[in-house]
Amino acid sequence: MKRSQQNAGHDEQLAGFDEFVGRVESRLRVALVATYGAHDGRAATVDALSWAWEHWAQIQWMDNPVGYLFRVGQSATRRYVVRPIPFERYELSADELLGMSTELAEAIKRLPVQQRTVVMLVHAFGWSQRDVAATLEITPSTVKAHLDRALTRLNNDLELRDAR
Amino acid sequence: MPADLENDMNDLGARLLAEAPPVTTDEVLRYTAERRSPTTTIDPLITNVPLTDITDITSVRRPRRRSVLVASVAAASVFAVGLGIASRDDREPDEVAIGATPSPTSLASAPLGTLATEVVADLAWPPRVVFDDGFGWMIEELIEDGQSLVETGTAFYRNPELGELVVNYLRSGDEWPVPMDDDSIEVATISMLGRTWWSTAAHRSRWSGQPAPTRTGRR
Repeated sequence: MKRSQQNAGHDEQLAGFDEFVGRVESRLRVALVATYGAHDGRAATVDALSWAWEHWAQIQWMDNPVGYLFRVGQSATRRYVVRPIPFERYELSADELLGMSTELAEAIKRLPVQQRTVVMLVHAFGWSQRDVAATLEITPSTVKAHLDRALTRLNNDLELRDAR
Repeated sequence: MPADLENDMNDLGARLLAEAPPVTTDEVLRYTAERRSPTTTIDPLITNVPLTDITDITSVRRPRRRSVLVASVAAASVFAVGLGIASRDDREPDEVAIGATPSPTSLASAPLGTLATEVVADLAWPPRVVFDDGFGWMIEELIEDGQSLVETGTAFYRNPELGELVVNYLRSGDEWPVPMDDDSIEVATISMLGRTWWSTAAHRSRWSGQPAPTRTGRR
């Protein structure tokens, strides 16, 4: 009797988690892919959702689970980087971002990570600035500032190349 | 944004997502199960290092590299301070392994183990905590800058082989189950934390009954 109750409880949790994955996975994956590229971004999504499953009692009641899991995914990406010596505190170089060598991709790779994330989410994935702010847990004005700076840098970078 | 650039961005987004297909619940559950499965492994990196009996090496194999902060309970004083620093500097690890070395030392330091656990619980991004029987471990994730590395390189005077092992490991970026005795762990930990040395020493003095060292290193 007790075992069947436990099984039922587990099934219920699993069903809830499955529904949760269906609800948040896309946004989480897109946000992490925008930041870390297809490979690492997806791996970070798996890591973050795994963390969510292990902390299901905690995560299911959060107001903004995608924002929280985005941070968990960011932490996870630290493990993917082979550290050079001497150590430097650095962001992912985004070398694998897209695996593309187009001028645009190269210019995006050179952006600071937050500018890159914001400009990708807004212009490559069509997110509203409000959605970006909610997911990254930053203010809309910060999103706009990152976006303006990113676009300025992108435009300058691409124009410079065109002029050569 | 110019229209052609907007189009290129859209194209970029589409290509990215094509390379990053949706993550399924099954995949997450499989991955979680793999992470939870401890296996005894021997890291090729350390097989040529005669530091200890390799049969004592226990590690938790995971499919990816992890940032893991590890310490034996005997080194928990250092561990706790390190975690505090890590938390404050936003360098907290994803995972914490606490090795419970079955020795009188670990019994004596059980309160420190509790303290370490409490510190872990206070982290803004709580790492996964793994309690693991067996050999001592050491701190990895806290080493973030060149200064710490220099200190690491010079402060392994008590165990140059260990120092070499650390540097090789860090260079490789591999997972590392570290075989060493508890004393070495403390040396290594103190070296790597660098600036926490004094507070660590002061903390230890509470338990050893010895006066804390001054900043010049004299008691």
